[in-house]
Amino acid sequence: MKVLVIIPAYNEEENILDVCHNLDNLNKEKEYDLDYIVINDGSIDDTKNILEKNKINHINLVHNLGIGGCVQTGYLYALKNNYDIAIQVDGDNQHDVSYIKDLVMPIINGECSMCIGSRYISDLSEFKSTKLRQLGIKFLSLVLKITTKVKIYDMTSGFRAVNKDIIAIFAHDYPNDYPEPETLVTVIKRGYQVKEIPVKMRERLHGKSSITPLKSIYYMLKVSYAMVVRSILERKHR
Amino acid sequence: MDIKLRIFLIIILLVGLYMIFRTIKKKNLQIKYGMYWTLIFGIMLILIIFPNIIESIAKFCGFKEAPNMLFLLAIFILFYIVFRIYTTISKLQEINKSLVQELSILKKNK
Repeated sequence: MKVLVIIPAYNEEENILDVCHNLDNLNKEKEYDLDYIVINDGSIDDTKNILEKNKINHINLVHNLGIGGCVQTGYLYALKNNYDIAIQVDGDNQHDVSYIKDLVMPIINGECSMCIGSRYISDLSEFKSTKLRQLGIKFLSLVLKITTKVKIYDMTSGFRAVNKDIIAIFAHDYPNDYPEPETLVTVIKRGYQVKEIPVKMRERLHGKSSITPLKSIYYMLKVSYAMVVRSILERKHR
Repeated sequence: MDIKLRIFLIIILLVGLYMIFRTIKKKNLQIKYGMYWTLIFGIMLILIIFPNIIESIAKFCGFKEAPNMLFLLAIFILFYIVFRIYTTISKLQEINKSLVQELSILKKNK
C-alpha cells in the first residue's frame, strides 16, 4: 500500500514546517508507506525557500491556481505515481495528523472509498468553528441530504482520505474553488461509500482562513448551486 | 427615417467595419469571429438603406412598432455572444490550469 499525503499550501511559511515535522514523527504503520508532498500554490511569502531549504518533497505551481487546482495537482501526482490512497491535509496545521491512520484503516479494510475527518460527530475536537459557520455547514449538510440521501456532518472538512478510484476521478475533474461539498456529491452519486470519522482539529495559530465573513453568503450560494447542478449532471452520467 | 440620421448611421457602420478588418489584419481577432461581426454590421447596413424590410418583417411577426423587434433581436444576439465568450473563457481556464499543473509536476522531477 502506497499512501500519499497531499498538503496544499498558500503563504504558509509559519505553519508548513510544523505540519511536515508532525508527519515525520508519525509512527509509520507497517501496512503502508506514508509519503507526503506539499503543493505550493505560488506563495508570495517564504514558503518556497523553506520547502527547498528543508528538502521537503514538494511541487511549486508556476502560477497561483487557487485551492481546487492546487489540491488537484496532488491527486494528479498521486495518479501518475501509482498511489493507492491519497490523504488531504491542510497546510495551516489545523488538522491533527495523528488521526491519519484512523482515516486510512476503513479504506484499507474496504469499508468505504472516501473517509472524512469530522469535527462534529464527537467531542474530540474542541475547535468547532464559529456559530455562523456551523449554521452554514448544517445547511450544506441538508443540501447533501436532499440531493444524495446521505448525511455527512462536516461538509467542509479538508481532512480526508480517498482510494485509487477516487484519486482517478479527482485527477480528471475537480472543482476550482471551495471544492469539498461539491466533490462529496460527485463521489456519492457515482455510487461510492463515504464514511465520517471523528478527528481533532485545532484553531489556526498563524495566518488567516481562506473564507472571509464577507464572502460567505456568496460562498453558500455558489456551493449550493454547484451541489444541485452536480447531482443533476451525475444522474444523467450514470 | 430622416436622411441625415441614415447617413450618420451608415458612416458609423463603415467605421465599425473598417475597425474589424484592421483588427483582423493585426491578428488581434480570428477571421471566423470577424466574420460574425461583419455579418451583423452588413445586415444592419442593408436595413438602414432599405428600412421597409424591417417594417414588413415586424408587421409579419406581430410587433406593434418596428424598433421593438430590433431591440429585442439585438438583446438576444448580444446575450448569445456574451454567453459564447463565457464558455470560451471557461475552456481557456481549464486548459490553463492543466498546463500549470503538468508543467509544475515536470519541473519537480528535474
